[in-house]
Amino acid sequence: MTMARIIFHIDMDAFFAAIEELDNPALRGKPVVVGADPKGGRGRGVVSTANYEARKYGIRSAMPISEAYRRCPDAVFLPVRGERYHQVSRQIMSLLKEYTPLVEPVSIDEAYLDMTHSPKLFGPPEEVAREIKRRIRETTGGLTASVGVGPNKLVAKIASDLQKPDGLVIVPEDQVRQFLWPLPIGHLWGVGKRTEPVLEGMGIRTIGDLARYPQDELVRRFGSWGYQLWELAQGRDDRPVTPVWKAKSISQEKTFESDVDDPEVMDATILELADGVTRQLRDEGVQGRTITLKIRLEDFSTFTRSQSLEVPTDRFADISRIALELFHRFDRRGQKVRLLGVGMSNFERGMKQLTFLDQLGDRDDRVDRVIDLVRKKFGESAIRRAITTAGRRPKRRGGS
Amino acid sequence: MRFSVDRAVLLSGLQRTYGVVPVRSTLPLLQNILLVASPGGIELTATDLEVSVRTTLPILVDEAGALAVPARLFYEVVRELPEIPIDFRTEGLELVAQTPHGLYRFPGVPKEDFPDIAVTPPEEGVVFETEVLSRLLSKASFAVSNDPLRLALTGVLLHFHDGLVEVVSTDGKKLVRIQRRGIEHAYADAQAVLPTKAVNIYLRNADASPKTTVFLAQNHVILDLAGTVIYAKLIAAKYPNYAKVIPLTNEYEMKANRDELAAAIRRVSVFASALGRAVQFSFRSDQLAITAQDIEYGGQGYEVLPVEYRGRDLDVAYNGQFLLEILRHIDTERVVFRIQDEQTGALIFPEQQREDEELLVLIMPIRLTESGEGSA
Repeated sequence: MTMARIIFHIDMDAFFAAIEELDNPALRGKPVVVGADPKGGRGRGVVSTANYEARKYGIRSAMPISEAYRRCPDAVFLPVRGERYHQVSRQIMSLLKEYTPLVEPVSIDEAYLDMTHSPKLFGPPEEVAREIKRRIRETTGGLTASVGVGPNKLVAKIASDLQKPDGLVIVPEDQVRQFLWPLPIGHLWGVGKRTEPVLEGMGIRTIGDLARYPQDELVRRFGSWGYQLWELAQGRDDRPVTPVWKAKSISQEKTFESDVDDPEVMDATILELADGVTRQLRDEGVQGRTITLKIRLEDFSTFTRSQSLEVPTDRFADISRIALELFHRFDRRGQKVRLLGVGMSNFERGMKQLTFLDQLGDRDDRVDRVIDLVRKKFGESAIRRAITTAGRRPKRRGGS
Repeated sequence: MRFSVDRAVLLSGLQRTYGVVPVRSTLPLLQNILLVASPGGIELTATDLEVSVRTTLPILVDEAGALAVPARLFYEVVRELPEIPIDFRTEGLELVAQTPHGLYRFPGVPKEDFPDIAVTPPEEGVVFETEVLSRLLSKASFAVSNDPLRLALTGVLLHFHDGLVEVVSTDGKKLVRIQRRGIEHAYADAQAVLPTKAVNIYLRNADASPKTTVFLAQNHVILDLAGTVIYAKLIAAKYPNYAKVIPLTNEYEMKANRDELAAAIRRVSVFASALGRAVQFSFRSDQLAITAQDIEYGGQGYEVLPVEYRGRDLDVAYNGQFLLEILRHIDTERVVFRIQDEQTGALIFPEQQREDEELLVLIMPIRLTESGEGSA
């Protein structure tokens, strides 16, 4: 078997509302509701976050804002400032990444960390958890997080919820059952308002009741989901912590020294740019799905045209073909072109569809790789696709 | 030219040929269907120069002749007519159709202008039960590539060797191969790369005859369904040596219920970011966990299935859409995966092969290229 894992679940307390209090200390101690405009009780949106003061009035996330208003008209209602929350979120996530590369953000204010291999570096989990909480507070200027630590995501998530706000609950592997089994069944991942009464009707009130229920019976009633539920009730959850990388884009552009009207030169430039993008993709080991062409005309009007592929690619053939198609479909209304750009985005960084084309002797891919290699060794201009030199080809002498 | 034909008979003939007519073409002539009337009946021919179909309707002809008429016009009129006999005659370069309802005139093109698709078949052909050949082609053509730069892979390979008939398609990410024994042929080793369109046209015409004779000519394949014959130019590229990419040494085997597995993939891959790709399979002792997450917007799908598995713990990601497509082509209740590690393709089989048949699918994993591994 694999060694026991150590999973942290970090959950910021009333995140949006806490940031509002941070930015405006006068709000402290007052009920604060971040969400849609209540419009004096006639608003139609919902609550994003309520601070703990507001929760005393029964105000919860996702509740209609009109109901929140009815429950506490004197609360401070604030609009969602997404940009600001994202900024704080980024600070926190990058802090977490100092402890392990295996950080899986679940949402803007919540993340799992796989700390299995970290104790050697940072000390025992409890110490690390306290340190993370302290550093989040310091870095953000006062926000608190609740941390749950367990041998898997299920346990860590439940643990982080138990002593909110500013909580810390650590569940060692050998205490998972004592921890889980007394809890009401609703704590279990996947058991919601609809299944809870069904399970209660079967005499299952706690996670322990479910764990002791015959597995066959659950499978018979609920299919494979019943099997999963039972596994979870045993405290078993194999879901890996999977880090994700934020997508960015890779692009190259070229401004012509003088505005261009010759389609051949433009085609050649697009191929050259596509070639550059291909190379950068390969250097970074990523593949993208969306190819974007940027065109600036002589009057400085700028356009972008994009097309997405079904399967991510880092191949010159795909990128150049689509960039050219986009260009040929673009109507420049007789204007000359000032700038062209080719870009790639929509990455699944860290994900690459493997193929056996190399083994099949696929020519095209191999050419791309050879070009990259030659360039690395001998420099940029050592090798060029014949087709990209079109614009530079000396004019063929006519007749003389 | 003059003949009379029941609307139903003519419509069935048009349905056999109409699919070949190109929707758009630089050669407008190809948007015609050629009618040739001779004492034996009328022949309908359509072609896009790559794939051609000719079907013969054995009817009584009063006066021989030939004319090509606009396919869409002709097809739509015949489709809309009730079940009655239609009288046809030519008037100069016009084809005139007469029914008790009225008169329809189609502008025609002389036969001589219509491309000549005639290919002389070689003497010996391979005779298939149509049911068998259409099964082979329909099982093993889903993995074709659509990359014009890999010409050979855009087609379906029909391979005769060692007393076997083999049909293969692949795009480098997945591969399907079906082998069939017990079909008599004299080839030591012969390959033909069929354009996908020809395969589709054949499958659509499979009801024309219980037997199909396959002729391999120099650059053509001829699929002869008695009264209906499909001529196709072969793809002029050598099919790569696919056999060597099949990892026959994979040691760990998983067996799962096909429908349960497909249903779980369908649900979980709702979360696979864009496109329904990257679904992670966590192979564990007698269970399989399937995970996918939405990278752009967050969210995760996760399911566990009871399966038969005794191999080592492995986490391998695959394209969920590819998996679903593969599972659609497996017709046993249980499906077998044979795997090795995170980089090696998985072999997928039906739990029991049919008599004289072996179906094998290979799917390549999606690899996490930066860290990402290392989670327990």
